[in-house]
Amino acid sequence: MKRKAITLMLAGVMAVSTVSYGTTVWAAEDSVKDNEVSNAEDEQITLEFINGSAEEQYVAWLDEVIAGFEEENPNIKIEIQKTSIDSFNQTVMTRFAAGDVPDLFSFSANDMDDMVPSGYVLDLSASANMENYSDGMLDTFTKDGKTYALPIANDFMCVTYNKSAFEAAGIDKVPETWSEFLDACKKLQEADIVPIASGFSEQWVVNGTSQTVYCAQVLGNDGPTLASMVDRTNKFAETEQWKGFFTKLQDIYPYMNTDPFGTDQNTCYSLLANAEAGMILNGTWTVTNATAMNPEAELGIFALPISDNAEDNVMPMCPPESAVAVAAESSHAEEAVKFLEYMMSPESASLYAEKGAGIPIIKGVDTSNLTGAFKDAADIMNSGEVKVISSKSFPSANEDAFINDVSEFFLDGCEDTDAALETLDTDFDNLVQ
Amino acid sequence: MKENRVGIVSKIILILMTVMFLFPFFICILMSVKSKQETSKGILSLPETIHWENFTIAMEKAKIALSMKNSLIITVCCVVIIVLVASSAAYAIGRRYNNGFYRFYETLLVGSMMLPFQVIMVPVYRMYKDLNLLNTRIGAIIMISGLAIAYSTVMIIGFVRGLPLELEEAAEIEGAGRFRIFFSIIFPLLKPILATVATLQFLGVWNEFNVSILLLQDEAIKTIPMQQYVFFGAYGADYNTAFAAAVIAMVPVILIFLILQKQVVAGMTAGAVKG
Amino acid sequence: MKRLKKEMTYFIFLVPSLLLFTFCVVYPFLSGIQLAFTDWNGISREYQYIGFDNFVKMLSDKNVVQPIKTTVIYGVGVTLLNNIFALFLAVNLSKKLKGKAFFKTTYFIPLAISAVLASFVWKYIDSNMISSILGRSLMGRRETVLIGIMIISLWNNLGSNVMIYMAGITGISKDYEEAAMIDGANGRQRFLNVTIPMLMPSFTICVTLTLTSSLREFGTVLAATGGGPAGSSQTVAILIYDYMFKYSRAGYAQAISLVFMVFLVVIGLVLTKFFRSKEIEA
Repeated sequence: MKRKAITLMLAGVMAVSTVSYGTTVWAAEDSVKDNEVSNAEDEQITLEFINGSAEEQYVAWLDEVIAGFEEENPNIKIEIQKTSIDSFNQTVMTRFAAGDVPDLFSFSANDMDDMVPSGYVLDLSASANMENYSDGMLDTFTKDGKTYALPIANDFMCVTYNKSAFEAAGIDKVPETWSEFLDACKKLQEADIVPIASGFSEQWVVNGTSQTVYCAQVLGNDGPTLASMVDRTNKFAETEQWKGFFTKLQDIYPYMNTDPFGTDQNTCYSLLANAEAGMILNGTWTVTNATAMNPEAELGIFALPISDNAEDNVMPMCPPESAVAVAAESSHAEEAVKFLEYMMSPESASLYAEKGAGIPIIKGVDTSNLTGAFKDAADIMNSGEVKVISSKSFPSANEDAFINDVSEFFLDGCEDTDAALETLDTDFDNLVQ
Repeated sequence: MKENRVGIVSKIILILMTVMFLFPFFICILMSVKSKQETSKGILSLPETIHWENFTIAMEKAKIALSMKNSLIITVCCVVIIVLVASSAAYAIGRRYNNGFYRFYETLLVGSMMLPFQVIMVPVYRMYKDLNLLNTRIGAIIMISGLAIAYSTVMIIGFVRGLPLELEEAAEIEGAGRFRIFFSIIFPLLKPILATVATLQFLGVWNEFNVSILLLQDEAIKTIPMQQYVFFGAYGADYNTAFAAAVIAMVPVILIFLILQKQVVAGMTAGAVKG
Repeated sequence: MKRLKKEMTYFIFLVPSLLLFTFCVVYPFLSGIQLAFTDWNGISREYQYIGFDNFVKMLSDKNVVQPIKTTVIYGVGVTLLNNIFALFLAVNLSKKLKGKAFFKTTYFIPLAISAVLASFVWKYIDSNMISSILGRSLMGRRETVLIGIMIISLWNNLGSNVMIYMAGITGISKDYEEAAMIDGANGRQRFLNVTIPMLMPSFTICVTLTLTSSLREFGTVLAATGGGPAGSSQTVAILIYDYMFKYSRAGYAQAISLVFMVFLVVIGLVLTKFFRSKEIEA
């Protein structure tokens, strides 16, 4: 009997202490860092920057930018927090939710819906840097007239090709129509070169190839915006351009490597760099990564020519979708903005181009020392021979559903386009909250 | 005795399994000494020269020396705590197995092992922030140990129950206190399973990722597993340096393992003799 | 009085564990439970309580069914294969064998590799070697992707069960074996009637833990396939992660976690009870 009493008592004590401890701590208000009243000019300030981009060239560029800034501003130090792509969301979300905010952080289009309404992101509209961007380039990061993040670069979703491979296959000019494109694929195949290398074992690659096709086939072709597909104003099965999207996939599937879903993108970069593959349909970051595999590779880019009318095939370009933002609750917001403005200045952008990190979109950048494919891209951007389109990304849940459905379509051999369109509509219907 | 030899079929299976188990290591090491271009030539292609620079780049990029120090400190402390806390709890539970409370606690432990880490991430972060334990080694040590004791305790309980009571009863009659009994009699008898626990936990904590990435955000105290992501970007990865880093990270673990293994064998033979 | 004192001393042995466990697990868990009853998106500091809405939604959510099937197939598969091979290895490595130390080291060393690296090496082998041998890679096809991931898990985790089984086998007194031999039992009979029953504590640990951890498997799957291709390897753990960190539905994810946890707890307890009841107490 005594034993039972003791047992109950002990269990009770444990329960009570747990609950009371729980209530006290949980009830404690979130302690956000207090905004310090004033900073003396020579007080040492450390800014924390959570960076989600681990690309070698980007990191090298960022390090140099920071070094330059710290030299000009000896009282400010920037500390970079590196996270992996997978855990970036986790890290950022947990910290903001717990009230322990960083000063600067990588920001993407997806974050607009979550973070801006919660008041986490600082409004940058007053910054002078706003002048450095062409019209429409800040659209993804602007809401209700306020801009919340500044990007450094933009990418095109296009075809990256190996010039030597094209030569070897006897292709003497860049395809300007869809028939010419398929023709080029055939020639490559006959020359024993993989026409289109696809590393679909990585989900983002399926997304990248899809975006390359639908940016041209849908968004740049008078098709509906992605937002209208998400809120169900438009249906996939009823949209001509989306039907065309799937037929195009049918057309190019036979020209891809065998077992694309068992191949990773690194292998594809190698194939392209060594002229064993002719093309990759993805973003311009392909150039950076393929060049890393073989610095001697001669690469170029061209817009995917979805129409048989050469004049219609202009490079589609949507506003950048990744940028850097400042936390609204940062206790050093002023210094953080100062650094951000420095980071996004034309001088930094020129350095960015030099390091081969990508194509900067800051006005006034000196792009004369870019070479190869990057030069082509910069020229296209600067010449304005682009078709500005709306955002190319779906919200996360829709994006995953889209990737899954396109993958299924590929895995089933690209046979039934009607079924694919229907499945997309059903899945998107289910996702309406 | 004839019965005690391994049959020929079993031998063949053993050898096949060995090949399967060792092959990835061979690939790991091969990748770590090749360059990107050589890697693209084929999986089994041999490098023309040994690219030692992969290792130097890896060490620098991933701050391996510093991370290794952190990993060692955290791992050793955790293993010590886990072994002590788990064995004492397992002793209590094992010897009081008929008691409702102790059984309930065991159930709680078993239940806790089903917890996906995401469920407690935010509460842990908030709690640590309020207690100012974020970005501290001691904070990470406490949390990692706390999450590991359930598995270890459950493992040891079974063995405690298998220990004969006579030794303890004899000691009790002689007037020895509970603590004496535990440390002089029980603890030594548990050596085989404790060696196993220590080894498994060493490996588990060394490779621990979830808690580390949440609580150790300061570069100065990051551990080795967090550094492996340094090589993987969003659109491409540097496999060769990544594997070089992995090879470097493996070395201390394998060494420790080989050392502890001797103890395991010694402990097991001692146990067998006692029979 | 003496009894109370004895009770107290036993209890004191439990105290360090109680404190550590409550601090690290119980309290965070209880704080986290309430989130399942909210519409929290994972990042804002405010949320509304919505009662049991999340749970009701779960019942009609088509996206939850496939992951459950995938998880069960994967979990059962890994547990069976893992324990059968581990037992096989443990038994054979406990006998007379040349080069035993070498074999032992071979099977244990993969434990030292993290799940992420294990996945990357095997993915690499899969796409470059296995695809040449079998014609297509394992992880590039919906039908065989789980097999591919199981191989990674087995390689990475087999060693720990081997270790536990070996510790268990050495703990079996030689007397029992000899007595059985004197009674005329052959190898197979001795295995079934002496070894297996005496190994029950090891089964309790190994089978239960392998099952519950493989059902919860996350790092390996995420690094190997991320749930692909086309969602064919999406387990419940990955689903929870996606809802929590990608789709901004943390409250819902928490609700799924809780239900999932309940299932795991039930399975774990049933198995533990089953094996513990078969354990032979000294």
